[in-house]
Amino acid sequence: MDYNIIISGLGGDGVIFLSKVITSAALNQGVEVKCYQNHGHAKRGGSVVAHIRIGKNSFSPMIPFATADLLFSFEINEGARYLHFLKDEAMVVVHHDRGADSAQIAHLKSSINNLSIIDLTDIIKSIDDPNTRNSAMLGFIITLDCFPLKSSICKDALLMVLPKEKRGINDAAFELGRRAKRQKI
Amino acid sequence: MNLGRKILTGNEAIAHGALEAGIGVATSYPGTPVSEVLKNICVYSKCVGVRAEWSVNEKMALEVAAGASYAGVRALCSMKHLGLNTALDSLSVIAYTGVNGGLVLIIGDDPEPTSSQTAVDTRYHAILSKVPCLEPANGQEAKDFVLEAFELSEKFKVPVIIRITPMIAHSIFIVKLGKKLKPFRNPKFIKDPDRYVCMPHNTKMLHDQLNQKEEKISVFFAASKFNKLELDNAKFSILASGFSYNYVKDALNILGLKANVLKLLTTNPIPEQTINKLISVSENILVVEELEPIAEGFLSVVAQKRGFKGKILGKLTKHIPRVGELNAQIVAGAICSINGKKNPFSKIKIPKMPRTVPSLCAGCPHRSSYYVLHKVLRKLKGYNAIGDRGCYNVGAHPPLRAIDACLCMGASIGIGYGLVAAGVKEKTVAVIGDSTFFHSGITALINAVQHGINMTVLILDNDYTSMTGHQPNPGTGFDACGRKVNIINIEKLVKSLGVKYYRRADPYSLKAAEKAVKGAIEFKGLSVVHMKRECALVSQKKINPQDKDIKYIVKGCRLCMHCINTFACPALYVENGTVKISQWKCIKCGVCAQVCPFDAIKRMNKAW
Repeated sequence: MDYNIIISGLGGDGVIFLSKVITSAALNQGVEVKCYQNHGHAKRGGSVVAHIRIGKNSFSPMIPFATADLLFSFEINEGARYLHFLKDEAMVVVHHDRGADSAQIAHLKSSINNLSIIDLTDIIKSIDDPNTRNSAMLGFIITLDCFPLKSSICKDALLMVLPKEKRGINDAAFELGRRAKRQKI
Repeated sequence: MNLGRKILTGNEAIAHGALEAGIGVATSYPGTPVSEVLKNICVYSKCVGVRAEWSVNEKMALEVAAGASYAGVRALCSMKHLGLNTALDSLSVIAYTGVNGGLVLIIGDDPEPTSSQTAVDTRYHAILSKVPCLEPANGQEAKDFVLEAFELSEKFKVPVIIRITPMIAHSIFIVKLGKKLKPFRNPKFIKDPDRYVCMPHNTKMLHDQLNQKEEKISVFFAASKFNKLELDNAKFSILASGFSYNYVKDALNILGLKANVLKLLTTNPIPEQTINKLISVSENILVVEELEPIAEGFLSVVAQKRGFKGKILGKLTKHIPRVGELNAQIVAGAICSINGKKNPFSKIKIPKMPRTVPSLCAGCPHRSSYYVLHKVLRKLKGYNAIGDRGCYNVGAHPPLRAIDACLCMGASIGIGYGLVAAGVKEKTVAVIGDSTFFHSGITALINAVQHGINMTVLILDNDYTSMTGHQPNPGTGFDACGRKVNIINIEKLVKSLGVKYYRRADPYSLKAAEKAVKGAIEFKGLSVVHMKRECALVSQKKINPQDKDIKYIVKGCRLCMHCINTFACPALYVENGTVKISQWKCIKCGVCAQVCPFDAIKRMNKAW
């Protein structure tokens, strides 16, 4: 069966960047892939979402409802916006750095079986660059048992897409993400 | 050299296809979803061998491309569906004269629509102009069809449209690339006035020739590999037009159902022989196509001719909605209702989430222009502010609500003029961006000056066509390849038309800008205020390192909410009983400090 991934966030979170990295990784691993991106008003503060479909049985780059295996989001609301795309047993990873429990988190907890909430800001606190958040997210995602791409291929794809001077800190952020512990829900 | 398989967006694939076809000229006017076609032609070719340009408008882009084609050079012209409305006057005649070098148009439709004022179906333009239309269903086809389209264009001497939607343009596919071809460069315009000078005496002949071409193309399409009938031993059939094929295949996979599927990628003219084959194997046929029920109507006509006993189902029978972009769920719902099957998607609830409304960027100079304009206008008994396309129609959202109407490119001055001509007593102001002004606002301004209309025109100039990704326009000073070119001086241009009141103002200096606007509003006759300041998304990348230490903070806020309600910069927000400034969003333009009636926003050095 094909593997469907949704990435969501707001303009500037790196959703489009990560979708490029993951599609490149899939190509390098020799599997079929297609990716839909919706970034209408990203620069003007709008939502951004990417759909990635890995495998040879899917046709449209847009994932049909109730067929996504994994959703990861850089923002709670932007994650909750796409719950109707998920399979019952789908895995959800959401970044949240405000500490206190909120109504949205409670809502996510009640509607998702496999939820991980991670604090990327905390994970990369030793690196003084908030733009490396998405590399840490990728590092975390590849540790999930269900993730179909090899971690070394993902890391190579990440570093290849980046300009040389950014590779060092993003490599570090990727490794921090990979070693981060999942918060128990 | 075989470049092998690459990850490309549909737009990138098309750009590569154009270079594999050896184009010599590429023209475009920016418009979502196809703005990146020309951009990538420049990137891949490094502007060597290809003359690429952002034209002043779509009509100009098409005419330049057609001229190149007349001279025997392959030319590619890209624009959005609404741009083709502008260029249609030219296209319908180019179809009559025919082409010489291949001429291919990449037209981006927006069925949802996500970033357009209407959802026009380009296939109607193709039918109207009698030009062939191809619709690729994935990235590989998008690239391959460009090459096919050039062959087709030269074989039948007609311009060819490739219709795509955002689903192709912005999605990423694995695409197998071919070798880039050296552009064919031996331009020669062979005079043939009977063909190239369209006048009544020869138009009838050219019309007849075009009709004959259309028939021949239909036969050619029927025998071509573009369309594929996939038989699945079923009685139920689906006609899947263009990209919709993917939704049909996904829906059938999810439902685990069988159906014969006709993948129809030549959507004008639709080959009758291909439709005949579909009819002969089907009991009932569902038609799935983006936007208008064109294939459905054609299929119904052919079905009646052939005495088809089954049903033709689709948009006309309300099995598929006529508004909005299609998806696998919609197609699955239609298949289920026709086949009496339970729809697995009917129970899925879409979460109700607040819509994120786009706003003018933090530090946008023309948020200040709007602020100043409305500060002056609010003192009048009444006013009408007519806006134009581009970033500035985002100003229509609350709380700014800066414009009362917005039609299409360059229309603000014409609509404003119409209000005045009708006798509306309130002051009329037309607001237009620089690129829109060059696109078609100039002609409207000429019309208004000629007829001595009493109104005010605000030109919000930010040096670029910003909304679609900062493409250069005639006021920018460089071209699509980054080469230095002439700048059209708006001030000289406007004054040369005979405009008596022209003031240029910097929107970051509120007091001076207000004076210029106030003078314009009070002026009896046509007045123009030219608000000029570079787009903030560009200027914030050039912040002087010394200015990095500056920050604006709020001290002693009285919560009058004037800045939040009338200026509404996205960097301003309210927290714990005070207005605050997001240092992440702030670009340090300092305008909010001028807006605050209590001087509570202060400029600080970090060292403080």
